[in-house]
Amino acid sequence: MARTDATVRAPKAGGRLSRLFRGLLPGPLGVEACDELDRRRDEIRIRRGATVGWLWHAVHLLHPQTWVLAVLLRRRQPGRAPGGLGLGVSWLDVKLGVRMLRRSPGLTVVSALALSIGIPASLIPIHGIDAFDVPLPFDEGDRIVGIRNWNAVARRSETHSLHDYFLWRDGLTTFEGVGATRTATYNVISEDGRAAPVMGAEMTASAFRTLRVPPFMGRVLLESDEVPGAPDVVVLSHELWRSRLGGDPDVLGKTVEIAAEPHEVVGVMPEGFLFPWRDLLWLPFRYRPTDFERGAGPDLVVFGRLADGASVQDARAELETVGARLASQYPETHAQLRPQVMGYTEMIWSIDAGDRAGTYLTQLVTFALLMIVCGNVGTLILARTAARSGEIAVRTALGASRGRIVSQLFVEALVLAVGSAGLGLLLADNIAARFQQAMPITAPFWLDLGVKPQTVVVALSLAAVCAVVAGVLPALRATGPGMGVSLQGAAARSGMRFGRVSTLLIVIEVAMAVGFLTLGGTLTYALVENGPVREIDPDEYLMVGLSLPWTDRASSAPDTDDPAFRERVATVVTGLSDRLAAEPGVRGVAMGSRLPEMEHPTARVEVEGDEQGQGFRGHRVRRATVDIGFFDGLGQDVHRGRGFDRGDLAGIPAASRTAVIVNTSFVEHVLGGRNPIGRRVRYVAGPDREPGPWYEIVGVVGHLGMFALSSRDEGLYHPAAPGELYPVWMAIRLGADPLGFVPRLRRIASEVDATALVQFPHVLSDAPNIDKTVNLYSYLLLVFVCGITLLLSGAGLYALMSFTVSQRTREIGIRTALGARPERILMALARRAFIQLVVGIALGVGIGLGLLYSLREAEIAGPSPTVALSVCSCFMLLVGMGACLEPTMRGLRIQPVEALREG
Amino acid sequence: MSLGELQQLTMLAVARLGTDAYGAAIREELSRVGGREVSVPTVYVTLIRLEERGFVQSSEQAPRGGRGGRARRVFELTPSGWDALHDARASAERMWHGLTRP
Repeated sequence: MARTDATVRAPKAGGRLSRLFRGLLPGPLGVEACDELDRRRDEIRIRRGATVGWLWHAVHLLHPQTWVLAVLLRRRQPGRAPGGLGLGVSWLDVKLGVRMLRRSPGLTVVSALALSIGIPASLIPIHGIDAFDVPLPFDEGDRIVGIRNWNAVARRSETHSLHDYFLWRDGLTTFEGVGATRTATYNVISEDGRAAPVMGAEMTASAFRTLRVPPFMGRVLLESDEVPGAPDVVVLSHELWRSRLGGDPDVLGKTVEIAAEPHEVVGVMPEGFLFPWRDLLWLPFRYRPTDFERGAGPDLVVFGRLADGASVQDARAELETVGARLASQYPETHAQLRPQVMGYTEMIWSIDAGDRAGTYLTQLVTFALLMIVCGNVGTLILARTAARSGEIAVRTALGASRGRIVSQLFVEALVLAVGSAGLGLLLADNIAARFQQAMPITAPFWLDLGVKPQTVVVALSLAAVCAVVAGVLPALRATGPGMGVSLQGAAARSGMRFGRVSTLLIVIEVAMAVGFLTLGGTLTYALVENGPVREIDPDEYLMVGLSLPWTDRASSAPDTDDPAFRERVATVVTGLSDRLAAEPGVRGVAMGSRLPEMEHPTARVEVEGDEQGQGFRGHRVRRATVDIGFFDGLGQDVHRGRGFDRGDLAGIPAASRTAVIVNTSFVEHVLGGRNPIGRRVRYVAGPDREPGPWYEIVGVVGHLGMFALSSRDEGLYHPAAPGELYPVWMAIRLGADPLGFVPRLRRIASEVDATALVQFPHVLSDAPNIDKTVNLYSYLLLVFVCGITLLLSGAGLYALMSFTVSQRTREIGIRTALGARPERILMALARRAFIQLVVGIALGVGIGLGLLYSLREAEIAGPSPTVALSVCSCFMLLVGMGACLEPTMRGLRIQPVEALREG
Repeated sequence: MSLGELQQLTMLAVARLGTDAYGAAIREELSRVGGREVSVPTVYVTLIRLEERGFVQSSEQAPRGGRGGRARRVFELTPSGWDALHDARASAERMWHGLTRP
């Protein structure tokens, strides 16, 4: 060798970038490449100025070939450990990293917890888009695209596209096939007499061809099935065939009653085919354009498979031409319509560019939050690195380069980050599976929220970035120039300082911990002390939704004002009610637009004669419209006044009825305990709108659970006649095992009306309720955020104190030797931590006040802000001081002789 | 194994430069004669890959005047490198044989 390693490593004057290059590209050839880069940069500097020269150099540092060269040069280095991992890293480093993590269990647990939650959580936005917007799981599913008419003025999709569908199907050349489908829920009665609502779809024969999924048994639907007057046939899903027909191998040719009509089973689709959403049966598509005006007809989902060689752009171009032609031919219906082609799932979810932009923005924010978490873990690692100054000094003296030590510390952080990411992904996969099961809506068959290979790759890359932030940056600081790391008094004499960023992080975390503790504490208090009060036992009731398939199949929803439809609903509801009243075990039936435990809509009311100041927006109340037998059905006595009776309805149009019943909470909080009977109230919509008509309070009932979060459930009930409520929610009082009554109820309902759909059976205490769900998830989220911020702020303070004690060992020894009192040393050590704690708490009080102010509108009862903030501040102070205690006591135990010997 | 275009050009530059074939000179030759502007790291990556395949070999040249008096690594073609170059040329010529631009 013509030169020593020292010559090779010597940085050449020329700035930080030059030094970075020289650290990156080792060996004689690396030096030569760096010289050449410096020479070229100098030429550019002379010709175009220093900034352009620097930029040119920086771009080359990021150039992929530079990193390829770095790896190749390191592979050529003599003495490179066999089995190394590149860039001077070996398996030994990994083993050492694991050992170091085991030696500091506290740091490992806190950091792993923060990263294992932080890394998967930071991937939620992008993972969400990936999970929702995927190709269909069919043969060349990525070539199946959605086609829709977009109303450019109303900015919504126009789904009444029957005429256009036939035009697209027969005219588009960029598609191999175009299909259409319309979904609905049907009452299916199998041969054993069991009735249950089933999601299904009317689907074109072309749709089956387009999807290219052959039947498991029998055949799919054909064009001949679509001819008016053709026999009624059905194709079943594998799932329905197994669950309702017991997997009968001779099912073909048998009949199933669907929406009160017998249908012959002609085929069974393979397992997992539940197109277009999670549908279990398919009926022929018998809509003809001649039956509808242009722009009218059923709600359709139209899709197609791109022809061989045709791209989405080709299809768009062709559809634009067709759209322009239709706009000129039929300006009254098509002038504002723009045909669009997009991914099928993208169309179904209505994911647009704005959603994507929002998601990517959220993604950036979550990455930024993750970097804060990493910075924090970095603070902990920095504190530990300071305690390892002696070890670093020994390794440096034995010839280890700065790069070698930094890479060792990087590997330690990498082991931590990768392990945490793996743990976090396992946890995330489990939570995703549970969430998918608990989703309030039926998820489409292709949706899989579980962790996918690409998510793992991104998470591992993120773990590497975390390792750089949490490992390399502290390592560079701990080994940087000017550190003066020496074998004697390594920590005591080093110029290492706890940086401003670390200080700021601790203050922010303390502030967030106080703020979120205040919010979490207040909500918890509200839940525990002030939870819903109700005077019924919801475990005794079965709740179901009752709806009827509407006869006009072309509209997407029934016309509830149509007298014929109302009459039909009234007949079914009355018939069912009478049958249930005669049923043994049924102790009462209540029907309403909402039931106790469900989410009730809110409104604002004013009381006649009450003087209110400027800006009064009305009392916030909840409301429900109920059958006149509602309170009897729930076994509720009317506390004061009277219940509803036929006189409240007879011959009076719904809009002119005046009788209302309020609850005791209404009397207490809206009327201030005054006698409510005969008092009049009305709805107020806003300062610029006319108030509604006056209603007279005729009775008072108890708490029936109109608001899940609080006993403050001021509410009022309006009476309704049978047929006016739609869809109808029924609460059937049964006592024990309410769900066991569901099959019997379905049979009775099908006997009353074979098309009636009995849906969403739940025990009343499990009623779907957004209030309750939001409450639960908010509560969990708050517990999570409070826990993490408390943990991180405590850990940050602990790290700061450990660091301070390790830096000032010698000083403490000298002070003790000179007779300084322990409390003075304590003050000197803990002053900085204490200041951070106090500043953080002061900021946190501000955050807490803001959060409590935002709760005002939700009217969640809780302790006063002063009490909540005082309690939380004191708690944070205790946690903070607790975190400082151990390192401080360690400092006070330092013996003068030992400290001076170290020095 | 076939040679990429940049690899061929780099080997030709090495051959043309003779005893002066070091990184910076090769890059300049590629630019001046071959009309190819390549980045500094790319030249060294290509040279290392060619050396790993046995088509070139390098040796350290003692420091000379200029360029700060540093030593530099000089490359030369190996016999198999020459063979590979000839093969590449022969293949190209066979492909071109009889072709005229329409």
